[in-house]
Amino acid sequence: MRRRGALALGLLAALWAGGGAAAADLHAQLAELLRWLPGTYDNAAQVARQGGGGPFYPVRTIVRPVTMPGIAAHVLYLEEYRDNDPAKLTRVRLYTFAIDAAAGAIRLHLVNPLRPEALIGAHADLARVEALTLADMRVDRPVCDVLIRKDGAVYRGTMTPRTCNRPDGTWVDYTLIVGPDRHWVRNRARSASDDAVAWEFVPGAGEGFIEQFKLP
Amino acid sequence: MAKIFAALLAALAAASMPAAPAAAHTKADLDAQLKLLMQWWPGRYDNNEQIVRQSGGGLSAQTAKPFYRLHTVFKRVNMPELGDNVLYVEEWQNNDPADIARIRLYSLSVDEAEGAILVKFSTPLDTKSLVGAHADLSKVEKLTKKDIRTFRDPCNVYLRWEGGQFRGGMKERSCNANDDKEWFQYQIIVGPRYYWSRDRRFTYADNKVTYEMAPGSNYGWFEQTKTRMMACEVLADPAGDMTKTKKLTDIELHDQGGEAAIAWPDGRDLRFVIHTRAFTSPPEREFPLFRIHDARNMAVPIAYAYAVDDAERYGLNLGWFYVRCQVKK
Repeated sequence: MRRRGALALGLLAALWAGGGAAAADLHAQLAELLRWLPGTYDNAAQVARQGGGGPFYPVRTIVRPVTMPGIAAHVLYLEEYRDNDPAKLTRVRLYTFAIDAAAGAIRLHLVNPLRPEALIGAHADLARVEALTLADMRVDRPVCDVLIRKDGAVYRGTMTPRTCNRPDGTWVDYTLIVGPDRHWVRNRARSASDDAVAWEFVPGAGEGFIEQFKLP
Repeated sequence: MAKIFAALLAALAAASMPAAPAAAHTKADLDAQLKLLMQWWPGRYDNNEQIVRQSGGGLSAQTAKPFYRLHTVFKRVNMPELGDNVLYVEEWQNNDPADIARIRLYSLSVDEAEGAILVKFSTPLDTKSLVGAHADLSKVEKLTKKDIRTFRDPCNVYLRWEGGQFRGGMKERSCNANDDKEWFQYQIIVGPRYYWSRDRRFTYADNKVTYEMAPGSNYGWFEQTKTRMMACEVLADPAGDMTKTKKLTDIELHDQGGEAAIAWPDGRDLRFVIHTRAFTSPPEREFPLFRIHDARNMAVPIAYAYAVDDAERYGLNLGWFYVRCQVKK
């Protein structure tokens, strides 16, 4: 059984590998991604378009560069809330970025502040974020890293399938798309036994993304 | 050509607007997506810039590894037997229209259950007779179902709207080959001005890659950009006096590595080449770089020049040689 599991993992790793860019391209791509990503995004147009019966609720995401050399060379602070209420946090994260030449990708590593509620509104006062140390955070497991590659005109990042497992036995199927003016996310969990969708960040979204566009 | 650029402008506008088709996959969304895809996709695509980049840029000698030159033409055809939205696909490699890589028919429709645009592939039984048919679609449109082989359903391609472009492919472990011992992992991306594709084949038994479209690329994409056609007037003066140049000929070529041969009055075979120089520039910058070569030396040009981003009109005057080009509308 274990052998079959290893074989399946090997297959998935093989399937997911690829699309790799050369190192020089990756450096240019990382610079571009760090230029594009900071900003304030919302999905107001999506919410308006879907009308009353749609699954999507308002999500605002604010991404700011921070200087935190103790964490990594390239760090972004992300604060996200729903229903136009800054107190209704959905995510507070630090994103660190590094080049993974072997994977031919940009590796996004997730760092989670232990007390996100203490950071409400910190996007407007980054000193509160930059004062944090590693002791104030939980560093996510490398199996939950997001590998980002240039895909047409956008960057597309995914976790390696079946690796970022949750306590309930499901695995996280997360997709991030970043363009010069957009930040789209789809987050769901799948059953380990048959890959069926077991949880959705936006219930009923199916293949749909939270479609956020950058505010002026 | 004017129609193409009008569609392109509409498509670009749609891509930048939040009101673009959604990924929520209602029937109305999918219908709008199909309409947009049928505006975007037709055109000529070439990966010349990718070849320039992998070769080291500038005047470096070009290498065809891991990516070789690929040119693809998508033309809308009227073939009701295959559906309302049918594209004829003619693809060649190594910058040689006779070196055919693929000839296909794509039938596009909405698949509500999949929340996607379904692309059904067919291949004409006699592809040799269709070489060059992209310029004479009546050769394609007279084909009937008995003249083509339609791919099996497991080889269907599903395209989904993601981040302002269409992305998708065949389902994993679905489109079998080699007596069902292997399967294709085929994926494409279609945007307002680009078409990317990649393909490889795995064994079911031990997950070995038995085929790659670009061997050694680690499943990299063939990155093709939609071309613009340029109409150029060539003038000459044997004495090199730029005040006395006289018209020699007209040429037409595309701007993604397009080439035009010019029989020069002194007997030389000259080549005029245009590409959009992305190397060493920020990726969002694109500007026409044009060169004049003696055909015996395609590595180093006699002269080259470039214009500003998105320039639609440019020229080069050496006295003995004068070319002026504009986007063909």
